Amino acid sequence: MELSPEVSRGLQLAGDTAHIPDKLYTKLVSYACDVLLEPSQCGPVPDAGADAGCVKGALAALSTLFLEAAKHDINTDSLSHTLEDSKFSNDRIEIFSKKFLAKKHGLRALLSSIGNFPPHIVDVDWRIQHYIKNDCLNRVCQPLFLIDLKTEKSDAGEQSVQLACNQEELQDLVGKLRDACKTLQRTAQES
Amino acid sequence: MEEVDGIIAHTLRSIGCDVEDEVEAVAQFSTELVVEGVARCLRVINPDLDLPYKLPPSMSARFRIGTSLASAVQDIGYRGEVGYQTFLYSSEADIRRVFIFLIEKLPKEASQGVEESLGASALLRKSISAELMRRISLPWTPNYCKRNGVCWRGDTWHREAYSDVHSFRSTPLAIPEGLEDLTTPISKETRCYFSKHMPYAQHQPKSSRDVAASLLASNEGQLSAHHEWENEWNTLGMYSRLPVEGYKKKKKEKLLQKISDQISQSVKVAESSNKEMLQSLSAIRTAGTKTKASRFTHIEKLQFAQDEENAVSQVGTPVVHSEEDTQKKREEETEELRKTLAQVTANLDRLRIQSKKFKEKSILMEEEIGNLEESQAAMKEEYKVKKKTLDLLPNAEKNITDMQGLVEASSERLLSLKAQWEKRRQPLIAQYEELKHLAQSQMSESQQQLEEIQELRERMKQMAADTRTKEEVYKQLVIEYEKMAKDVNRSAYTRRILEIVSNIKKQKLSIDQVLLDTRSLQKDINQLTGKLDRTFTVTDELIFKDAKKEEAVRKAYKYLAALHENCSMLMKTVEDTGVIMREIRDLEDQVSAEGKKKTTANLEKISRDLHEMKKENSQLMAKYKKNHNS
Amino acid sequence: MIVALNEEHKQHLSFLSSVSADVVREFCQIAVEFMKKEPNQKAYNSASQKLGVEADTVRHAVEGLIHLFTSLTAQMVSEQDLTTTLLPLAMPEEVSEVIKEYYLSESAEIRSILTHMSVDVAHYHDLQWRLDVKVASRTLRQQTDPIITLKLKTKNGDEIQSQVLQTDPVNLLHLTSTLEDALNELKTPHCRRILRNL
Repeated sequence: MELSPEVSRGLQLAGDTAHIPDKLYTKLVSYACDVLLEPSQCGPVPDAGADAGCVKGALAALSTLFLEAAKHDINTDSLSHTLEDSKFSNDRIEIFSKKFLAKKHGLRALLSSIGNFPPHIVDVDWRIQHYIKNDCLNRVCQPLFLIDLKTEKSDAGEQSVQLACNQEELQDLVGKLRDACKTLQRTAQES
Repeated sequence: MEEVDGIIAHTLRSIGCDVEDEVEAVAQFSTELVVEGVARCLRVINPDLDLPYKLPPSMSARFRIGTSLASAVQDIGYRGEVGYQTFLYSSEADIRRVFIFLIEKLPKEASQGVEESLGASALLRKSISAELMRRISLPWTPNYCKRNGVCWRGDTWHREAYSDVHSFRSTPLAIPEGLEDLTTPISKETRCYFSKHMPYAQHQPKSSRDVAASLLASNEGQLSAHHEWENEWNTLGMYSRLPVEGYKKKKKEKLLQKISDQISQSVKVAESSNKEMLQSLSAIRTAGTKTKASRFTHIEKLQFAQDEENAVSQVGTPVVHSEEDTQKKREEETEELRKTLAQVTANLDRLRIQSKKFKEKSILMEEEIGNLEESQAAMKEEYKVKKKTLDLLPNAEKNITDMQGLVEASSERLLSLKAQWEKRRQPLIAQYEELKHLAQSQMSESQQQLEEIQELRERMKQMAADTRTKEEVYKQLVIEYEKMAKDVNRSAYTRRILEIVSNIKKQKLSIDQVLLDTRSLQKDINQLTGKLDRTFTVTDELIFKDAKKEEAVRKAYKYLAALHENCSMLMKTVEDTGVIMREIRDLEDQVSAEGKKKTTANLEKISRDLHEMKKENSQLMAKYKKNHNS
Repeated sequence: MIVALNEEHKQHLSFLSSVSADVVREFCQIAVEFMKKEPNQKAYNSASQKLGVEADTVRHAVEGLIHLFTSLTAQMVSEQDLTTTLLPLAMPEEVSEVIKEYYLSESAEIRSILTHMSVDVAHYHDLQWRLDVKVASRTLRQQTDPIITLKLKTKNGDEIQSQVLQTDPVNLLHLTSTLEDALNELKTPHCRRILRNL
């Protein structure tokens, strides 16, 4: 994990009792994390007892540290090293590490939701129809499968992909999917 | 033996055999367990072997499996006697021997561990398969059961739906700067802006979901800018031998210079093209004076029209005639006006040209005036010199001598000045040289220092990289160590092994002792036999000499011979008893060994199996016959 | 089932009654080729020249045959019914035999051609898949996220569309088992009964 000089200076601001008193620090750490996870539920910024400019700088730096630490899945040792470099006291390091450990998975889940992906299949619906006749043929009498793949895409929400299969086509499709499943199982047992 | 059995049981459990906890000794192993254990060991040693773990119910199939197990064991190098009976009708000692051999052949876990720590790719593959294993074993849940598309299982999570996913969009953020350093104060206005007007960084992006992306991007951007600067400073900045601020200032100036150059250049290009355009435009304009005129008339027309309207409204009678007149009149007027305009413009142009000419002329004149003034000044100088010489002419003799004196004096003074100058010059030059030297040496020194600094920086970077890799390795090793620590048995085994070794040493000592004792006894016996022999011979001779003379002695001799013979017989018997005793002991050992082989039980089993097989055979025969008949 | 022929159609086909069985055979061949590929103007011209009739007559006859074949196939007319159908045309025995022969041998192929012509939704065509493991992303390092990327090709008429989809292991297993269920559903008594009754 690397932090820019600007962020490091912001952290120094947050770690300095002259700028941010202890009581406010605890609140700021909580806020800096919660504002990322649940922005709608964390209320106004706690800034009593300090210069608002300092609070702004410190808050931005703390949020960045939360994100970067979660991004690199950093362990507590290196986290406290980083904070020590920014002249944090042991109590403050403890407070930050505790919050980070509690929210790490949430933050990582949040970070995993940023990106571009192809449509992701989340569910499937099917129905069988018997194809009886059409305008140029009487008595077709074939079973026809209508398959509706429910997919989700970034920035777009749900979409569905529809396709029809007759029996042979469905057998082919299922065969290929089964092959994929087998590969998964084999890969899982390879260790 | 207990130790060995414990190890065998533990190893079998570790390779996946279902050994119950109370089973500790090989004697307690059932036939099924023996077969399963051997099959599993063989599979671990050679994964290509296709051996079943369970015995089938059919007797003949059982024998086949037993035989294939035996041949597989022999294939991997077992020297002892082994056959299907070893597994199916097990005797404790045989089974133990086979298991000891197999367990020795098992691949060592330790070597595996070393391999893993070597390859990061192996580690990755392992983590991938672990993750896949975990994911596959999870049940499927409908989409609406997941919060934000993430599936939480305790502390682990994974993404299964993507409705909540959005692309990476970042907005530039403004964050207060320079507040932490009290030594460099910032202006009151900036401070006021920071504290009162600047919004929180978390509130700056339009959508709250872009906060994370924006914060990350801002950190990344700043970092790369920082790296870029470091690089530049290390390569270019150091050689410029300027302080940081100076270098920055210089760079800024350079950039500004470049920019202004570029601008002026492009302005020039634009101007020239502009001129061309203007020229072409003016060409169009001269061609299109008519259009201008028409516009002019158009405006006039409008005015006239208004006037007329007014007139119409005032007079109230249509004046068609006068209108034509006015039209004509107007045209004449415009013609006239156009003419005058043309005249005026021509005049203007002429005047302009004239004024330009005049200006040029005046410049020329001024130059001439300057020239003239210069020549006037020169002439004045000349005039002064000439006047002086003329003044001196009347008493030339005296003046010449005076002049000569003066010339001499001045040349003398020149010489003395030269000498003085030389005197001053010498040390100055020396000093100059010295300073030059000094500067040069300083220069080279600073160069050297620069190089050193460069080197140090390189080394610093290398060290940092080294530390990082070492930390990685350390972490990995710690993880591995934690994994290893679970295997407590290891130390217990080593302790036991050591104990066994010391026991063996003790036993060896005592065996040596016994051997020594035996040897000394043997020696004693040999000595005694020798003594006896000698004594007998001596006595025999003595008595034999006297025997010829006396009857009693002869009798005594006979007795002696009988005694000797009886004694040797006795000795022989004793020896025989010893041999027999030894034989008895051997036989007893054999009996106990045979007893251990569970012969009776095995025999019973064999007869039972034989019975079973016979039944199977008869069944098969019946079936065959039935088939044949039908 | 009998196919009722209208007057115009009968008129077009009546030409066939006036020529020999071999010519009819030729005509049948041309009609089948027509359906499989495309009209062969040259064959029309050469036939009309050979027979000494107008090209239009030949064309009408061939098109009449095509119409006859398609409507027969659509109804899956049996051999017996075909004879009944051809009765009003009063054709010579050999000619109707030739037509019958062609109908019987080509009807399966004509049927498949007709099936493709009907209204249809996009059909499954092909599926390619691969197993990816996402190891790191811009916002998240140190992750192992197995993803199955699928390339699904669907076919609508002659136009093949392909789209890239992805899914995770759990959903893949679910997808597979659900579609297997669908496939197995065909073997249930209910489905079989329906199929039989149709």
